[in-house]
Amino acid sequence: MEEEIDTRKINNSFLRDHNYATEADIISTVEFNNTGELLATGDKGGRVVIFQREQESKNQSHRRGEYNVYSTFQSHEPEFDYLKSLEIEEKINKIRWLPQQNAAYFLLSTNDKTVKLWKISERDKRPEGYNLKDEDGRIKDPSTITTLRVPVLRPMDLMVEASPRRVFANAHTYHINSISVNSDYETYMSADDLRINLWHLEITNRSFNIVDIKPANMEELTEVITAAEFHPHQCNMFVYSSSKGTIRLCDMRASALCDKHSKLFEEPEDPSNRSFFSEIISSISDVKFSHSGRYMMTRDYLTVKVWDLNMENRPIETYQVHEYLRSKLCSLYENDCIFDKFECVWNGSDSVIMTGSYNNFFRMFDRNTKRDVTLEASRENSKPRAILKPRKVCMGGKRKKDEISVDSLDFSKKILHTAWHPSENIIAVAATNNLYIFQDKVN
Amino acid sequence: MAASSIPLGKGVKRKRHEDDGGQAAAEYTPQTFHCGTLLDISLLKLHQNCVLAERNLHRSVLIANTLRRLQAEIRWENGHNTMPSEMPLQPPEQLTSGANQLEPLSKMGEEITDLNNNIAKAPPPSLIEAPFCLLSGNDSSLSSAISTILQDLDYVEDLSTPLGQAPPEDDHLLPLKPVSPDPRPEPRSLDSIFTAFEIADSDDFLIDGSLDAIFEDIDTSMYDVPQGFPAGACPTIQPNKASRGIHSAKPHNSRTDFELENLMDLLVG
Repeated sequence: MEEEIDTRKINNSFLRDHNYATEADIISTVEFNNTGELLATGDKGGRVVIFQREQESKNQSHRRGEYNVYSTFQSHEPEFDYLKSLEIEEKINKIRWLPQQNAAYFLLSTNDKTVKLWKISERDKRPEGYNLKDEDGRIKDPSTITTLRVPVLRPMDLMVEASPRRVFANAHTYHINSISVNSDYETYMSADDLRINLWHLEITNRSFNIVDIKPANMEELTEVITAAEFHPHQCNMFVYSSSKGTIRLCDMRASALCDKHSKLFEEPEDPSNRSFFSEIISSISDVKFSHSGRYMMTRDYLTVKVWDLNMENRPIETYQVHEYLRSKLCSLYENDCIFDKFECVWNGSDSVIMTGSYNNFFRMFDRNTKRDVTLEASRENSKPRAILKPRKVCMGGKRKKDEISVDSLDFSKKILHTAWHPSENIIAVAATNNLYIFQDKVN
Repeated sequence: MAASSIPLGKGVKRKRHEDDGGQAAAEYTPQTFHCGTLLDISLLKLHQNCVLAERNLHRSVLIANTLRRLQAEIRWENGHNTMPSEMPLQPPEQLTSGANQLEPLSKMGEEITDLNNNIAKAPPPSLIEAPFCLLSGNDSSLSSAISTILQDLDYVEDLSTPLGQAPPEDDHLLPLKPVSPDPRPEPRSLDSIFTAFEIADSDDFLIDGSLDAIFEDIDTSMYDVPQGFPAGACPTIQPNKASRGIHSAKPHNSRTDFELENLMDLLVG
């Protein structure tokens, strides 16, 4: 699968002139909206940057719309919890778009503790010709007014404003790892390590706890919630994944507290692969429903698995992302890389899945042809408009030309967050503090 | 939130006690793993996680589970001669899956441990690689250390439960001694002071007479000397000391200054 690179090597720190990567610029989440017109990124500094696709012009039809910066705003600030003497990071963990219902755009963004609903609206006209105010805004003396006029709206330079409309706070003791908007477009859920809460988008002072796995005695804690998502069509169903490699499907109609699952998805452990790190690498870092709603995909440290919702005892497909790391688990445990949380995404037609890896590599798997490809997102290896070259990692022995050996991989360059346009073959890949947008070759 | 990432295979110098196991670890066979090395790494990670400003429950749980697994492996390898009859496995119902058979800590058998007194500092590297009899003796103390840490991670909604004792910061390993002998003075009065600041009792702040007492106590020179605080002093300092044992004066002072300012704002404004 070959992709053409668009020139979007968008550095998130475009406001600064630094050449080095500041930690606040590290991208922590990427998400297209429901039409693909907008692309939102959140970073470690609590900022959200939204890109908008250019309208395709008639005379340049061969050139697909490119993404330009549309709006930037500070979503979350660092906070300090005085009671527990803990800092609350401003890092944006997740962004989820709401479906568009009017001219404005709405999105939910969350850090470890607080979810916020942001409204992004355009202003391209401004009223002119007030009677009581002059153009600078100063109040006129009424005695100087001799005629009356009707103010008119005149066009102005486009201004995009972001304003917080709701703040959903104080509902999570532990760190929020997921938010998911329900298909009813009225409610959403937020999940932390031990609990999942259900909110109404209009109500900020009340939320309902629907899952609670906190044991009475914290000593007995052996499992945490790692991700959660609502079913794309059935507003009563959701799934949540755990650090032990299980996924639970819950039905909110069954009871108010969904501690009892409707289905439990778990693959038996392969005894030949058992090690001290089996549990850590089985911890699921992301779970995503397919667009159809029939399947779901989970990502653990070494694999991506596709599950049929009708079959609980094993996944229907398993894809090895970087099996060559299996022999390096001890080192990866030592340097903490084993705890990295990779995400995974479906393409619009659910035929291809994509996930990230190390060395700025990301992988795509075609579910129909069973072909897979490894691509790299980096400035050095890609020229604008060039077609991405597939990469290959060799395990050992003779290294072929253009292959890279396992020991040469750079584990500080990891691609954790990726996004796929809902209907077209456009992908967004976040490599530390750089955002890459790739488009399919136009021919 | 990854700790300092050590690029694999870049010829980076590793820690001393890793040198022996470093090469071996690259090729995986279950038996070539030195349980002791992994145990040491895991304990260090758990310790680090506790003192980090942001606690990562997910990571701690995974490390704790790995520790338990290592423990179980060590005990199994130590065989059947030293172990008394083990307690039955009773994992929490709603959490464990069938595939895993880890014992919850609270159900660990009580093992002999007279090595507590000896393990105050990090054992020399040679001992880490030593036969497992050394480590097996630390079972219950290790278990209690793990459970203490997990308790400490409990972000209690009400602050009435006393926080777990802090691991002394200059120890390489966690304190493998029982919890009560605290090198810091007056552990009990810390608890009692702490409970005085429960949210439920917040009215204490509003007593007129003690306002002056609060202002009197806000004197940075006080915090240079670790001693018990009279009631009415900044509550946020207490959990900081109790839970993390931060001893170095410099960062502590700057932190308390910041907290003091904010607390002053709260009280006054």
